[in-house]
Amino acid sequence: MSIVALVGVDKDYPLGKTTVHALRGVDLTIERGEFSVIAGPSGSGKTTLLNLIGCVDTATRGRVLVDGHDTAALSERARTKLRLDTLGFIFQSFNLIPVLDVYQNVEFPLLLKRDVGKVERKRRVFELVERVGLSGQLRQRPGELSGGQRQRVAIARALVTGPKLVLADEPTANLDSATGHAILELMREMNASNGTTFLFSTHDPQVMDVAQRVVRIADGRIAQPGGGVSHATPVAAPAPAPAG
Amino acid sequence: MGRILLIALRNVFTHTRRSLLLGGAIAFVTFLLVALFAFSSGLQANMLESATTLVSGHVNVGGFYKVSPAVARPIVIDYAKVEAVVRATSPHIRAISRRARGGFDRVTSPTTSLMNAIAGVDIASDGQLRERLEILHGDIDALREPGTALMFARQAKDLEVGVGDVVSITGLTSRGIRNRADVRVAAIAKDMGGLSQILTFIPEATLNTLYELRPENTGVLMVFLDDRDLANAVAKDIRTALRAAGYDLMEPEAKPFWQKQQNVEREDWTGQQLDVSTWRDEMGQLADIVDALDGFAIAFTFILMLVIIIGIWNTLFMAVRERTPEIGALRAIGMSRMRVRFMFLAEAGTLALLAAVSGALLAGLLVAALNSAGIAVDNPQLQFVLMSDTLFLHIDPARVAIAVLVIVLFTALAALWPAHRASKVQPGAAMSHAG
Ligand SMILES: Nc1ncnc2c1ncn2[C@@H]1O[C@H](COP(=O)(O)OP(=O)(O)OP(=O)(O)O)[C@@H](O)[C@H]1O
Ligand SMILES: [Mg+2]
Repeated sequence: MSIVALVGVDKDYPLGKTTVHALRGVDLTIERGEFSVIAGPSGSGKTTLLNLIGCVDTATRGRVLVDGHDTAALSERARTKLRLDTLGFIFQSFNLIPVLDVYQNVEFPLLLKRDVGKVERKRRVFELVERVGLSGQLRQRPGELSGGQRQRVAIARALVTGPKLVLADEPTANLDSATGHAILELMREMNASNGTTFLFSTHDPQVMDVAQRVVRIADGRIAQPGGGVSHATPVAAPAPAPAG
Repeated sequence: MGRILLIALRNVFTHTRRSLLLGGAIAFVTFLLVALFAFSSGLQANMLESATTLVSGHVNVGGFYKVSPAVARPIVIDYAKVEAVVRATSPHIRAISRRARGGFDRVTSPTTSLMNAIAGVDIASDGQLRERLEILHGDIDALREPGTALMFARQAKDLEVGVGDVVSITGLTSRGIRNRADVRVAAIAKDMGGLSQILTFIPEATLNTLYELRPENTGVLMVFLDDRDLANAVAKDIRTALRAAGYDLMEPEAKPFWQKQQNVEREDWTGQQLDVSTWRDEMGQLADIVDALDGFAIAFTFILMLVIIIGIWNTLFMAVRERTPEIGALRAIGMSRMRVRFMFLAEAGTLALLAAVSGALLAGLLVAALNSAGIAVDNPQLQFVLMSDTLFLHIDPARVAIAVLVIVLFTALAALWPAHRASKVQPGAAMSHAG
């Protein structure tokens, strides 16, 4: 069973009197252990796609299966539990808890899970903080860290629960290219050593080189490998906007 | 949950300006409430002190005797029998003193005169007066001799008399005869609020002669308890016991006895009716005023709390708006709505608790400082109201705890709305969308 399967997915956003078709007829399968990137220009629907997979939003039409669960059929509570147990998130703007230090930020999802004991919690946090290279910054708060360091904390936080799938929406967009590259390397390493599935988005062609597989998206449609992207005019043409 | 509390606490301390503003307001309201409560509790304590020294026990057994329907005297006939019944009612009775009740009559000095309530004491058996009065001049034990008087500093000053001087008291008997007693001022006591301004003590025997009363009768039996909060319960027991012993009783009424006397004289009965009252009943409307003061404090706090609630909304909605991406991220990584709600409630709750406790502490410090400074009140009207010649404030820890708790609860209730709004933040808020 694939970790992610999208079948005939549309996502519409109402925008005033018109409708934005953010995704149209998306069919996509992600296998376990993949390290894949969703690439496309700004406004192409990358975030929308990741939100559907991340059970953050629901599709207008079609089916989204995550680890075998039809996300549309789940209650809000069950979706929250699926996010906690099965998924990990890395955000473009890091979104750490500013009042907690590195250790506490990484530990936080484990506290939400409740079923992880104190000793095990400590072991996992130390292991991950070490792997992202922040053992020396355990007691620092996000405000005292650089962007690259913050994203490392976010990676540790995303992985600490041992998720099956980590979703990262433009994880390097707020970082300079060298730091961004190091972050991608780190994710690649985690993927290689744990077999955790990674799915991240970018519109930076350089970033795509690291990926095992590149899913191209434009105007809400997936460009089939080998096939071209259809250029049907969108009902409401989305204004090209910078990321963020 | 512990970590969520930590986040809440740290957020309170991180947003210093906002917390100080709102916390300051909450602290101020608590401070006011506790200070007002301290003032009314102080009044209540003064009132109790002055009432139970001068005119009342915790519970009183008084009453009226009417020879004819129109003439009533505040007398308990054959008090020894009544006292025996009363004493057997409750193990909480610590002491029973008696006072003879004269009228509101003229006291004349060589230079001037004033109207005063005349009370008769048996100083040998009246421990209460001896213990509680502060004698400025003379000797309270001199009241063992007939033809003596104890008055208070302000009266002595108004009458321009000192210890050893003679004043005369005219008393109107129930038969309508005006008698006169010349008494020597034997002791002058420190004023004790309003009641002491209108009260002169003379020996029981002298009062009996003046008003032509028999020694086996008295005005009132004052019952002192080991716990004054039992006054109502014991009063009830005494009523039951007296009724069982065959005495007629008046309906309980929260009025001083001299007000009841006017009503009794309009009623159509003769003979003896006993009246069981508590110290609070004897204080009549004064006790109601103190209660009204509490009511005012509570109403005032309530209005200020409305302002606080608006502040809470403003602050928390701002916090929710500012922290929307953070909340979204927490929701995305698997924090439940309930916990998000709890996080904001905890933030408001800790802020309110810290603020309310500091406000209460400040009020406590102020009260302690004012009490130890012993601020004198010279104005007689104000003395009358304060029931004392110094400002006295009293902090009741239980009331403070309740005040703090209620304020924290109010704040938490107000926080429900913004906390609910926070729990509605979608996890998608953590994502950076195009457009
Ligand atoms: N909540 C929303 N309401 C209305 N329109 C939306 C909403 N979210 C996204 N859109 C629209 O859907 C389209 C796809 O947006 P999306 O954010 O998925 O693009 P993206 O590929 O992530 O872009 P970027 O690279 O700039 O982040 C855009 O036209 C966008 O304006
Ligand atoms: Mg995006």
